[in-house]
Amino acid sequence: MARRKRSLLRRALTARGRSLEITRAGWLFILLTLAVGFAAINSGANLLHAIFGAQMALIVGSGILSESMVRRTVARRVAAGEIYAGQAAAVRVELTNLDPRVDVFSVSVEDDDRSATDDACAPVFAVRIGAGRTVEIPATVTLSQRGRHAMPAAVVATRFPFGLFVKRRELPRGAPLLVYPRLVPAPAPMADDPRTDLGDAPRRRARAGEFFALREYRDGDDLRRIHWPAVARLGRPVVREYEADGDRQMMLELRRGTTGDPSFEAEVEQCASVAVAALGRDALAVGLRYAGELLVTPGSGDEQRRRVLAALAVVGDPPKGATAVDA
Amino acid sequence: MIGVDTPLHRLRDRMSLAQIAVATATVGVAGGIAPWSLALAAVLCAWAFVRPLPPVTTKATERAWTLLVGVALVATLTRAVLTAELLDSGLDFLLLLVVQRLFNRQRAREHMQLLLLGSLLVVAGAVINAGLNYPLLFALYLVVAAMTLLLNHLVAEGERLGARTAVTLSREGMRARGFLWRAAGQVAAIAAIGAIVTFVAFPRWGVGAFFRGGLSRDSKSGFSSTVELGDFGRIKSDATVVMRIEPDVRGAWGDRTDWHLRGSSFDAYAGGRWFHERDVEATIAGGPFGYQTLRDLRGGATLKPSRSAVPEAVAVPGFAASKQTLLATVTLEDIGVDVLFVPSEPLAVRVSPRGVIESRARVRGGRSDEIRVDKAPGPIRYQFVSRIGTPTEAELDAIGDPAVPDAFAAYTAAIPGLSDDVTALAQRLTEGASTRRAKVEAIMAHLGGFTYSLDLRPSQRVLDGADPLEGFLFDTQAGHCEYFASAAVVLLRQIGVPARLVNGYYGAHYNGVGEYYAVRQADAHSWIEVHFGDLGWVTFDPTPPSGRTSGDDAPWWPGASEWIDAVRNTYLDWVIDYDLGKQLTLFENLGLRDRQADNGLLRWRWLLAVMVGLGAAVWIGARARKWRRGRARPEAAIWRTVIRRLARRGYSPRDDESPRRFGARIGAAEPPIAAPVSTFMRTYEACRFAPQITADDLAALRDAAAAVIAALGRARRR
Repeated sequence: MARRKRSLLRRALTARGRSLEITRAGWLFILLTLAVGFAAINSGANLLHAIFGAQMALIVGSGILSESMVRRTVARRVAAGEIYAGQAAAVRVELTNLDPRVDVFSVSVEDDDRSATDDACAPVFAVRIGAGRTVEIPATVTLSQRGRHAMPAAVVATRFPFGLFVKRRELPRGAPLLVYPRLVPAPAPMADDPRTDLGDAPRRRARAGEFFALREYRDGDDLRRIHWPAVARLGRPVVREYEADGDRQMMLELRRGTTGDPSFEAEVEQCASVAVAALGRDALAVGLRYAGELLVTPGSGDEQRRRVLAALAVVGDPPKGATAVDA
Repeated sequence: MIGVDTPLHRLRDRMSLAQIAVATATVGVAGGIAPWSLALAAVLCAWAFVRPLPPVTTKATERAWTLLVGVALVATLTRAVLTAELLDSGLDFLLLLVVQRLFNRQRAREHMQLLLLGSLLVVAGAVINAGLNYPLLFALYLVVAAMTLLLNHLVAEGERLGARTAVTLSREGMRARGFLWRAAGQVAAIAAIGAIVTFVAFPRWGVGAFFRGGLSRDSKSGFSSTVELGDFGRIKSDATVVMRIEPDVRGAWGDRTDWHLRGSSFDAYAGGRWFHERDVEATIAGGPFGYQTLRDLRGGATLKPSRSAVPEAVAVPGFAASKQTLLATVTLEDIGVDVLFVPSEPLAVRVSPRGVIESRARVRGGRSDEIRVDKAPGPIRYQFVSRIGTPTEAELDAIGDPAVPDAFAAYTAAIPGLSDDVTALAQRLTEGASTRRAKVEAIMAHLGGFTYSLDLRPSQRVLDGADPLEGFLFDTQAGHCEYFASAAVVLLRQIGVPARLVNGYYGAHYNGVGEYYAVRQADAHSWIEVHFGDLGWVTFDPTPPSGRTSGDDAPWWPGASEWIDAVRNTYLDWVIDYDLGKQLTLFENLGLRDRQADNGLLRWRWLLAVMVGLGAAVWIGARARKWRRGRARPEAAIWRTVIRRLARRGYSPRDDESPRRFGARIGAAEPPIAAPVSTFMRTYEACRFAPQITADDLAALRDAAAAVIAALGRARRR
């Protein structure tokens, strides 16, 4: 019976992703309250009854206040930029007070210490959120593995008002984020690099070479390649392509491998680092092949960098027994 | 983050000190801490507060403090065992712990310990402080402690979450301190409501496993086992109310009574000091209605059961007014003596217990018919029955001058150290007096020619070593009540009349606000009792009437004093003395308990009424909400519904954001719901700003809202 009661209590306290924990100060306060209650009942001293009542009200009030703080607070974590594995990336934590009349005090968003993971998000704390208001607090997140991952498990927590109890509510993990491979110090792209056929003109302008054709504008294309007369004529954005691009392009070759395999992961990181370094140069077009198959056609510019990194983020065979999402 | 000095930390520091100060005041004003201890603690606390706080406490300092606390703990335990001053020792030890924590208060946990120490002091205050100041200090403490807890909680969060968060938190905390004060006030209000509800409703059934002890008290002179002549002179200007009397029959005694409230009585005098010589104590036995009755001279009961609830006095032959009694309830402040004050002639007393501890109060007889009580410190409440009628002169004369029984030999014993002049004076004054009354009257008449004065200057005779009474009788012929009474007793004894000195209070002043008679310390008085055979001891007051009272009003703002004293009486009555009986009375007055009910259950109809009332309030609230919604524009109601759903997902429109831009922001953050949200925002803008909204527009808006809600549901399930 006692076990069933404990189970019911635990279930009640942890319902709907909530949890309640009593801090050390909380235990002390409860002990003091019990002692005063005992003294009051024992002695019949009226003022002790009053103090006992005040303490009980503080305990109950603490629980109600902390529950209402957590219940009225909605938190979202939004990535504020690109995320590379193992590196702190900027995120924005939005804390919204749902109540249009009452302020919310002392809430934090912090990692759920019950989940064992290397991923971590820096905690944020809001002293006060005005009624019906949203506050945005910058933070950082560090995700250890490349791929598609949700934010680390986190909770909205409060110890309001006195730090006697910790009330937590789990946050939804949100949509998966694309985590680019870790960037490592990369060697300068060399002609004899086994993964490149770079050629010998690393610093030439991207527009150099013989005109080959016009094609549709794609996101990330260099605006200088837009052919404005053709745009005016056709009514849609088009860009010029040059035959000579092949002379200054770098095709990254990645052998077949399994996600999570340390040697493969190291190659992916190397590859990503080289790609980022190469795309930082004006004249280089970078493409990516995986196991001989073309993954990303050569191109240049910031959007091409993102395309290459996105492909590298998810490249690789899933480990045995893992689903694609896990990978 | 240890030892960080930010405005938030400094504010928290100040509040910590303030809560300790208020908590200490709750015990300090009740005299629970020795002045030297309080002063020392104050100096050390001030030093700890103003000195630069080191970032961390060194190991050596920690060891030194631990050693000091250990030694203090041993000393405290030793003192508690040897002197039985458990509470006093404990309070001194608590103050030492406070000082120790104030010197080492770098982290939030140390401030939490300070708060814990503060709360212990407040609990101790609840035990020893029966003053009206306690509830005020307690209310102040609740607010100050709540704010301290809030601030300390913020600082603790900073320590827990790291330096980066701590800096932001300190800045934001200071910015929001106005709101924090408001929150502290609200939390204190919650606590106060809890205190009041528990106080009123929690059943009182003291178990009494332990006893209280070592409580403080105000000691008033004049009623101990020995009294120095001249003690009363010092207290005649003290307007403190020491006793409140509520007669059973009100309005029959006027604004000023002439009761001689008998306290201590003495049978022996020597060298300016009164004391007890006769060891026989008054016999007290159980009587009707729970009273403890005093036995009469022959050992018979003085009270007899009656059909009414009022005890009836046993008649004394030859004393027509012997059945005139006064019944009253007295609330006696703790004046440091174990005497119960009852108007002459006391017949019976009954202590009203405040819980189990007071129920252990034991009334016992004192020497010379005193009524003494063994009780816990603090005010005491009791009822008395006294024979208020006095024998007439004819009845006294009828007694004649009876022989003195051996049992009363002590009251006629010659006073040592007095010169023969005193005896000669007594004999001269009573020459020709054949009855005892005549002898008493003769001496009273002689003393009536003396002057009442509080300005006592010893005569040369006294300076040369004579008894002070001789100086009074032969030189100064001026003094206060003790001199008059002492001189009368001495003179009577010199001629063989059994007489004794009585100390107590004379009269009482009616407090119209509280509807009771207040007795002030300044009403302390001395008179005599002379034994008249079968009539017993009869009261005589040799002091001139002008010297019996020192005025009824407090020296400053009498009206306010009356009000304050009435509040104090109500506080004692309804707070300190609140018991099961009063609890049931209160419930009856509130209509929550049937006066006829035996078991004290709540009236079911009141419970039903409360339930119906609550139901009605909920229904009216729901109707009002619906009515308000109906009055709003329909598209705005749909907008609010959708906004509420979006807010639950973490999206709220900013002040500077149009619906369309708000929708775009949501779409960028969560593409799966982008389309329905965008459609809804567009449709809403079209409806909201259209010159006239049609039913089709509204239907489209409802459909768009439904699509958003459905999309949110799908997203949540994913």
